[in-house]
Amino acid sequence: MADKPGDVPLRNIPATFEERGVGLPFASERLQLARVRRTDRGQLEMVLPNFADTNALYVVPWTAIPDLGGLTLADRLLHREVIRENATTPFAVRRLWLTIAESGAAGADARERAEAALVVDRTQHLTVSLALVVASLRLIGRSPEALSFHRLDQIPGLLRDRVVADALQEVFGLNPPAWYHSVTNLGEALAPVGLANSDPPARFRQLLRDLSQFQRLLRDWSTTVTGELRALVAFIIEVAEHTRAQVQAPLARLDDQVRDVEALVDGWVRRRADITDDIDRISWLLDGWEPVIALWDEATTGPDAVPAETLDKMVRHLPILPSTEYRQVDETLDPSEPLRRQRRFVRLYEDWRTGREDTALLSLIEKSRTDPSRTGWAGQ
Amino acid sequence: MTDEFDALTRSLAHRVTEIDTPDVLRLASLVGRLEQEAARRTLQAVIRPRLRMLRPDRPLTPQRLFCLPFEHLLVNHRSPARFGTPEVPRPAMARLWPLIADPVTCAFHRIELDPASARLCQIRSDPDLIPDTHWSACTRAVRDGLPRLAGDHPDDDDAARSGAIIVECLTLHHPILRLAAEHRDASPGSRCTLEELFLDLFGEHNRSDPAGSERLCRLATPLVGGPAGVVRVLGCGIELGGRDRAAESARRVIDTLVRDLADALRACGRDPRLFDWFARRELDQLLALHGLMWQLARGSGDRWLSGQADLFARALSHFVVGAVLPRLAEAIAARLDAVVAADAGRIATAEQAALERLFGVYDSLDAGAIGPEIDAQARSDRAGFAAALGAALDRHAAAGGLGDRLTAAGGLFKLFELVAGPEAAFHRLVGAAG
Repeated sequence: MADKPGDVPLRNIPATFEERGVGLPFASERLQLARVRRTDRGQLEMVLPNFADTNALYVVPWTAIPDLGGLTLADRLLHREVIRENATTPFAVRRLWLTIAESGAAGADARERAEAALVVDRTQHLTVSLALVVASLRLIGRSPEALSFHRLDQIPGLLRDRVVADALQEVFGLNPPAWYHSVTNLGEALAPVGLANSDPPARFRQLLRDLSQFQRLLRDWSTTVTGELRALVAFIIEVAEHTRAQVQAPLARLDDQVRDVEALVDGWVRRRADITDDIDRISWLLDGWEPVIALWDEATTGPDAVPAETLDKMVRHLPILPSTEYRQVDETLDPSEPLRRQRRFVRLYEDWRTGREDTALLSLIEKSRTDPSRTGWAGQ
Repeated sequence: MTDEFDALTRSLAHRVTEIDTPDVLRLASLVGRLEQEAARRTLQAVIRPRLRMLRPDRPLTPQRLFCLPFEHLLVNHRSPARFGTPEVPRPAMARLWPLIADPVTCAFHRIELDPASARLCQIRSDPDLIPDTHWSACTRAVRDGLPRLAGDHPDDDDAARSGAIIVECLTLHHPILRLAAEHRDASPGSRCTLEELFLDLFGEHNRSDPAGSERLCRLATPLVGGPAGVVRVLGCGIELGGRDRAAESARRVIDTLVRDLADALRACGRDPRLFDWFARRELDQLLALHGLMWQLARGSGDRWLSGQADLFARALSHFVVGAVLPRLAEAIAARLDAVVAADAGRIATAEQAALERLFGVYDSLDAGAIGPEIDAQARSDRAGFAAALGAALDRHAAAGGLGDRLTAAGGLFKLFELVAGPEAAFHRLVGAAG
């Protein structure tokens, strides 16, 4: 556990993504937005901000999590699988969760969401693979019209065509099975990013859009509030903006690579590390935003929506960029500065959570003062 | 709808966050006037995130006016964890609305609202803007629509329950507004729920004029309408009466209401119609009321309140053991049998939600801590369900590794978790898989 709760957000800006950890989709309310990371000694541990409604950042050995209590069946399964697979990347944790949720062990709702997510993944895999096949066929002078959409299974038949095989060898320097292997591997690797013009967009592009919309909605809402609340909103928008800015570079690089199919397929083996590095980087950058956006949606959809009360929680759970990443945006930027701005004394009669005057408290005090039957405040 | 419309919708969805605020409001007004309902709904869904933030004045539609008496009970989705709380889920309202739309629209079209005063906040607080006869017409429309709804959707518990809540709110709405208007000084603000009104009546008037307060309570008590209202009003009264020893008139009303409620609970055990009313809607509130009475009695050391709490606890315990638990066990067993027989690996969301709601009653009873006889009966019932589910799991997922067992019966393991707890479910799944 960190030693001084109030200082935690300022002192615990992680230096790297690995230190920040990967978001865990635990269903248990008290473990929501927990993160897993590897220690220097290679062991797993969980980082838990805001546990028991304090500002403290708790760090718990991974093996001790069941002792915290409140874990559902699905949480326990995820906990077990993370150890078994040593999963400490956003991709690995997501894959484990989708497997568990798809089985129904996390409930029917989670199963439906997992099935929908897997359909999106498979569609993007297919779309990217087919786009690469079509572009490759064009490069070797074959008409791609015969290949209908959603028929990746036609490709092996096509490869048996001697002319096609020779052309593939000539253009890409790969025999047909190797070319096919490269194309499907590439399709799988690029599926989370998809193609720039995919409709519906791939997972990361959709999340970027959601993030952009989230920023815009927050900006709209911030015009209706003042003071501390506005500063909090500005801080969240700032973090979202930096995150989006950081995603743009690897995303643009990937889009450029997909445009040059010949080089991409040809150099897949050599450039594989660069491509997967970019995709991993995007996954780390966007990790943790989905639950924050969901928090906001939840706080703004009800008839008695009170987004102000959610802001504090959102700030505590914000996936702040690691300090090294932050400085890549601007060397003069200090990631702790916006958080430091939040620190101030709570004024008299002010609700510390919302920054607004606590009218209920005021009214209670006023009544006590005017009630002659009471002693205490009234008599002073 | 055409491809062009789909393209337009997609384009709007992409750009909706970039449009300036005045343009969004103009667009919302234009969309609201579209005659094609499907197109209007689609476009409204696209711009809703922006409108939610901007909160512009909303046009007065018959549907919006109709919902005024129960708008504080509207929720997007019914929460399984909050079994028994009075809620009107919007999907249930959407299923009910087509059956009552014509008579309700007709009732509201007869009203001529003065544009200067015709804002929702004013209608919420002024009983003269919409006369009682219109609310009566709406109540009749819902009462007529409910049997048709039951015919079209025989398993739609949510809509039927919501219909009953709506009828109660519509019946009480105008008299409550009238009462609140008469005591506007004591009850400021635009929201006038039953609880708020009674808190004001118990609180403010008692200090200056105890006899007047009692008169007001007596006058207002018939407005309570049914057992549900008794529970809510009693909650308000007890909270105040328990805290403020000077609230003698509130205590007298509490005394009457506790006895009325105990009588009603005894009657519930015999009358299936009344049982449904209580067991489906009010159990959580009864349990919360029980907790509140004991807490206040213990906190204040008030022997009178302890006596009232004891009287209420005995009636409640008798009702739960005699009527609630047997019917609950019957309902759960029937649903579990159906699930196991259908498809162990895949359980429909609605089916799971229904079972969660039913099991939620046990959790509420655990938390309520009413008496040892309830705990013993509940433990025995749950052990029976666990044994039945365990046998089904042995049939469906006896062999194989963890992945095979999850694929074969993931949904059943989830249900086993509901019955026996996450730890037992985990050990059953992982232990057997090695």
